[in-house]
Amino acid sequence: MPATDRPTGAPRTPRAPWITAGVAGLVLIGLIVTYLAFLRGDVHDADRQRAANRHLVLGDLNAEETRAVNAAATEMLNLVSFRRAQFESDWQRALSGVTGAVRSDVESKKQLTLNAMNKGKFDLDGRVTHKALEGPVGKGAKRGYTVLVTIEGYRSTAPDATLQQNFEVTVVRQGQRWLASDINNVGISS
Amino acid sequence: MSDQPETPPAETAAGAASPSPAAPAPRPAAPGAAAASRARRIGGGRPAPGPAAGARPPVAGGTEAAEDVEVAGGTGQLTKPAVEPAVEPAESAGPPAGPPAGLPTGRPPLPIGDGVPPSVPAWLNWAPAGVLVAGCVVMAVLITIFSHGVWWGPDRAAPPSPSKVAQQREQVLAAAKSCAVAANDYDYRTLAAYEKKALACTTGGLTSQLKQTIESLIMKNAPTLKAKQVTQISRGGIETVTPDGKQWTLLLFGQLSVVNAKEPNGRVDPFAAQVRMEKAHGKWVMSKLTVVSLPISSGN
Repeated sequence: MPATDRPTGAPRTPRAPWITAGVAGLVLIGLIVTYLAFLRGDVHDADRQRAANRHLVLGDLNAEETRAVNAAATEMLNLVSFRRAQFESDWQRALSGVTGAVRSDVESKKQLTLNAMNKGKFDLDGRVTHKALEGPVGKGAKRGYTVLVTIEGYRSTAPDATLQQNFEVTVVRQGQRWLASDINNVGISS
Repeated sequence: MSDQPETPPAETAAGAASPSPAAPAPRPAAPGAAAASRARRIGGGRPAPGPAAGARPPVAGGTEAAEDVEVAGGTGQLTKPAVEPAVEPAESAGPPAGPPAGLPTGRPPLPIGDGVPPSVPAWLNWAPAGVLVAGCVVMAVLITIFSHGVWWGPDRAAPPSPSKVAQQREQVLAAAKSCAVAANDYDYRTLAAYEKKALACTTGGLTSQLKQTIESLIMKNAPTLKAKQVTQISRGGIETVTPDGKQWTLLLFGQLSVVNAKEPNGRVDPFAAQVRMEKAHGKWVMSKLTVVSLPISSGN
């Protein structure tokens, strides 16, 4: 109420309480809006993310690492599995899973492998017995993982005569695929 | 208040129904007297406009008794009872007691009491501000509490940090490599120490299995063959981790260097083992050990 409406001599209503109340009201409205519009949604998102991560165990393989491990094992199996009847398609399948120096190395052994299979009249097959994540390698676009894979390879003519091989495979991501960029046969070192 | 003469409905109806030409013309009631009389009957004061009660206009016929006597034949009119005084001295002569409530007077109303409006306590002026400030404080506290782990503090929703994951993996892998070496490294001259060290790195059923293997095979044959075996683990990887995080299955690659009487120059075999690690008494130890790759040739 304006002070001029009051008769002369009447006590004036101080303005400070009303100014304070106005400021406090605005702050309170801001806090309520902050809670309703921002915090509540973020809390819900955090709860949802927490529920999704609840199954994760410290040290366990995450989704990307699991895909990398599986890709390495699959590629190693493809590199020891060739049928004479579908050699070309089997070879292309194996070739599509490697990159870099490994690819050129595989390409160079195509005819040698086919000749050996035709001469011995056998197909090559194998099975993955173990696969494990060794760790990450590289950074940025060249970031990948090293994977340990054990393979039992055998000829179709002697399936019981398996050859145990231990591989260390480096896989890198190209697009949506994981490709083997390096393969080491872990054997005996001096 | 109208200045027009007011006529009772009964009078009007009678006069209009049978006017008599012989009868004198009906005298209209004096407007001032009628208004004053009615005003007095309802208890009001004197009507503002209009002539005074004693200043009646002359009545037709020259007598004033006509207004107090009912005219025979029904053609006359009765204006008011004869007993009603024309003027009520008490009302008209008394001093005005003041204007009735609600009537404009043109002067400001007199204040009630001492004339000073009741004052509000000073603290009451601050009550709204106090309530709102308290609301702000409560809301700020609630937001601070609810935002913990969301906007500030440790992120409860985040997966374990890469460094923490790597640290945990390194810890388990190092223990697995160490235990694999402890279980496979022996010298025919220190078999007791070997047994103690190897069994200390096992738990559960593996302890008894390894103890039986050491005592029934190694302790029995190694002194005769003067056998020594050195294990080198070069690589290790994680196969699986149980959902509770208490059991880790690892894959280890390495090599075994074997020296015995049959092979005095020694032999190196590739080595691969699957190891299951568990935490016992705060220490990661083996609960299962499976050799994946067999030696090229069996020397012992």
